[in-house]
Amino acid sequence: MSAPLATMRPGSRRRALRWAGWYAAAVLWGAMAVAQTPGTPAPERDIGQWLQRMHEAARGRAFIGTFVVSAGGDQLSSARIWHVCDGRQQVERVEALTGPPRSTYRRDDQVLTFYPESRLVRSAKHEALGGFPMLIRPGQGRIPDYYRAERVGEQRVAGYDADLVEIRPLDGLRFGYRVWSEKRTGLPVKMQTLDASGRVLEQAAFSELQIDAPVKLDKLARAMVPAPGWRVEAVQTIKTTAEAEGWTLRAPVAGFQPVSCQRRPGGDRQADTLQWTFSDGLALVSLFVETYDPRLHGAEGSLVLGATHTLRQRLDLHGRPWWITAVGEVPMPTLKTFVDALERLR
Amino acid sequence: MTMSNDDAQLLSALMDGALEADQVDRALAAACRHDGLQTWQTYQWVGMALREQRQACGPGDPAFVERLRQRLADVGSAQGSGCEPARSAAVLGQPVQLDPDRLPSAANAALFRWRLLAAAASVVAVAAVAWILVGGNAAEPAAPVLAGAPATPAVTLAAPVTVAQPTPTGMMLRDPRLDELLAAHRQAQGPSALQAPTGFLRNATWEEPRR
Repeated sequence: MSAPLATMRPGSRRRALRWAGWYAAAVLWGAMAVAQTPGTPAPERDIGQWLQRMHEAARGRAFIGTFVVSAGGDQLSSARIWHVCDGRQQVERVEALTGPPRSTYRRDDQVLTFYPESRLVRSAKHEALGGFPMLIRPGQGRIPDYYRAERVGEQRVAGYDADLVEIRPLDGLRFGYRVWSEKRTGLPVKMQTLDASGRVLEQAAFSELQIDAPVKLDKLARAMVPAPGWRVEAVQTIKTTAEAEGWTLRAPVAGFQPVSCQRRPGGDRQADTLQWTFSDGLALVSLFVETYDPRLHGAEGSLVLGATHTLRQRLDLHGRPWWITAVGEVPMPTLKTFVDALERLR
Repeated sequence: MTMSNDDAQLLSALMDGALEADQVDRALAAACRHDGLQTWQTYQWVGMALREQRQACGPGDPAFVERLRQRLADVGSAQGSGCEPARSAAVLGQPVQLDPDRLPSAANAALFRWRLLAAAASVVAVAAVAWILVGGNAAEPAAPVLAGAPATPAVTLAAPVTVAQPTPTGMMLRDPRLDELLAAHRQAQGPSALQAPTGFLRNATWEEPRR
């Protein structure tokens, strides 16, 4: 098409214009195709979609890695992780690399912790570990009322490209989070808990990771059987309700729903302990209630361990003294709100 | 002619700065005599060896000789001693060659070895006591865990250090009962959208006190 249009004969001009039109359309189509290739920003997801993707990432997949928990810039503890899921059941092994030697095995909601120094195995059941959290199911969840999620960038973590998702609380009763979600699988490879000023309270992250590693589920599960000579201790809890135990909250704490209530026998040493747990879908709060015993219960106070806050207080209700320990990955004023709202029914 | 014991002691005292003003002249005079400079240099090397300044030791260290020359000249001119600077310069002008293998050992060398032995023994003793106190009894899970001391802003679980926030009624320290409740709380971490897998791994990785 080197000849100017004005000098062309009419028929040739029409053909040239037609070819130009096809050419422009081809260029436009090519530009659109390029815009859709990988490397462009991931499609925007709402918080429910992000959380569901992260939760499902470990299903049907195996990975091995080294996991590090740190707070305040100091490494607190680390462990070697093996995870495998064949679609029906999940098995995990967590080998502590710091502190007292111990190995934790999980098969769905059953957890065994081995303490080789004392040849002791502790057996416990973890509520709702295997299933999909009810609180984020469409129509039932309340997470979007209290949190917002936004993809703010991407970073490389442990050799994998990950979407950086910020989960911001909509009020001051809970903490925020940053989650690095591996791009291909959605697996959370790094997570930070943030306070209201954006300060990192705690970080849990893989320092090395191999996704789709050749881990055999049956081999991992076989290691869960205690060897002869090991003592097995089962953590006994009795499922109950707060109402049956005579407890209620004067006013609910916004966003938090009660999710379980269980009684732990104290045995000969002390009275039973009630554990009443609440969740807003991301954060968990446990209220431990005991009959006050001056021999066992010391000074009131508070404690901060990473993102976990603890508050201990004596409550005198209906003429009886009670000892309350509130534990949760929430700000201290939220724990205080819970304790102040506790009330005896009778 | 070898130096007399009295003169040697004067030089030693001069080096230690333990002489009275009226004795300095006598010490400088002793340094200017026959083998006085050699004795002075020997004492310098011994002192440096005791203070582990081995790199400064050695026969015929020109820098050392120059410093000594300047110092003797300064002291001699200030004190008005009979040891004339010109004569000192002539005496000091020749580098002194000493055989380090034939250096006499320091008078307090044996004492220094005993001091080293005592220091090493005390380090071992402190380490042993610290191991007994910190190691603790790791055999039984029911053994009580001692509460840690309050710490500053950084939070930690690995060592028995606690961040305790003051409340109107006091500061809370960790105790075995609290550790049990913390473990029970982590066990209940089911209904959280962040629980699987990261939340569970975080709780399982969280270090427990030695049982």
